[in-house]
Amino acid sequence: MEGLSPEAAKYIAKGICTLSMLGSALGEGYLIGKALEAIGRNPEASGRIFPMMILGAALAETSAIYALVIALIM
Amino acid sequence: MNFLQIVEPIPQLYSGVVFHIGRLPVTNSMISTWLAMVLVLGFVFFLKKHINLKSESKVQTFFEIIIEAMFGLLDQITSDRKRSEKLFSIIASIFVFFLLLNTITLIPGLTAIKVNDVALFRTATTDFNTTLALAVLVVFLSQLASIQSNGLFGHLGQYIQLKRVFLGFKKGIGQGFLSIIDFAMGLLNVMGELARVISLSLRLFGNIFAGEVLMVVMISFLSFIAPSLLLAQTLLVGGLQAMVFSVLSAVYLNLALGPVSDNIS
Repeated sequence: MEGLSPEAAKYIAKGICTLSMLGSALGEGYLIGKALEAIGRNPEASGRIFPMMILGAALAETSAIYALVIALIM
Repeated sequence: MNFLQIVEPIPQLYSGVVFHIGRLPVTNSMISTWLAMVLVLGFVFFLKKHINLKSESKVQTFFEIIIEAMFGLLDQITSDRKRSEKLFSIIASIFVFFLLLNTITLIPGLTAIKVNDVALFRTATTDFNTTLALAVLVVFLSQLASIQSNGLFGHLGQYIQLKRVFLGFKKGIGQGFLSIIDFAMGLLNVMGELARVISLSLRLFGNIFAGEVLMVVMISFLSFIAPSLLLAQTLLVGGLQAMVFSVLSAVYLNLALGPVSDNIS
């Protein structure tokens, strides 16, 4: 650990921050898949499901956004 | 040729100080907030002049459709028309305000105006202070609403659940110790309120700020067509995040007001 400068450690930490995007992407994929399933089963309800899906996607994005904010502040 | 090189400065986290009033620094995000306020107020007075009950003008019909859509969304959350009417003014004004703040810098040339090398306008929601202030306001309002519906002691009882401990020990020792866990959970609710402030404000701030950073990066390596698509995306994200913020604040206020059936009786 002798050669690791604080600058390098900062970049490694920023890299680790991006891992949270994995969870966000998984959640969003699952959510949109389920919403499409629901629309496929009941196409008339798409008008009600779609806005909720968009809202959910925006909420699922949140954790990735937190990571981004942390990475930017660091 | 410098492809793939960021030529413009990445937007800063803090906003630039344009001038001082006394010791109060006036930042560019404050100025664009004022611009948004002036626009909203002007719009309100314009509408007030052109709206009446009998008119069938296209402008009025258009805004009636929009307001009906907002009411429809709010009804889904509150499931009670009366309560929707109660909450509508605050929720809709938060929505319109943030929609304007998020998209105001899309007006061409607005960010190019500079005073002493500091841009006069800046997307106000990329300043954390703006979103934090509104989030604190919403959570504070939900506390007030909770006091209004539960009474002051009922409201405090949600956090310090002494009543539950008392009732638990009355039933028996085992129940009493279980109720101590409930007491600790009640204290955790205080943290929950703080987490609401942080999550509400950081979500909006992060999304809009990320959009700005992405824009600079995109413009530096694909300067011709892609940025216009990104601008369109900014419009979408701005509207969406304004909606998310207002829907979440509607949910918080609705939760604080308690179940609907209580109101009717």
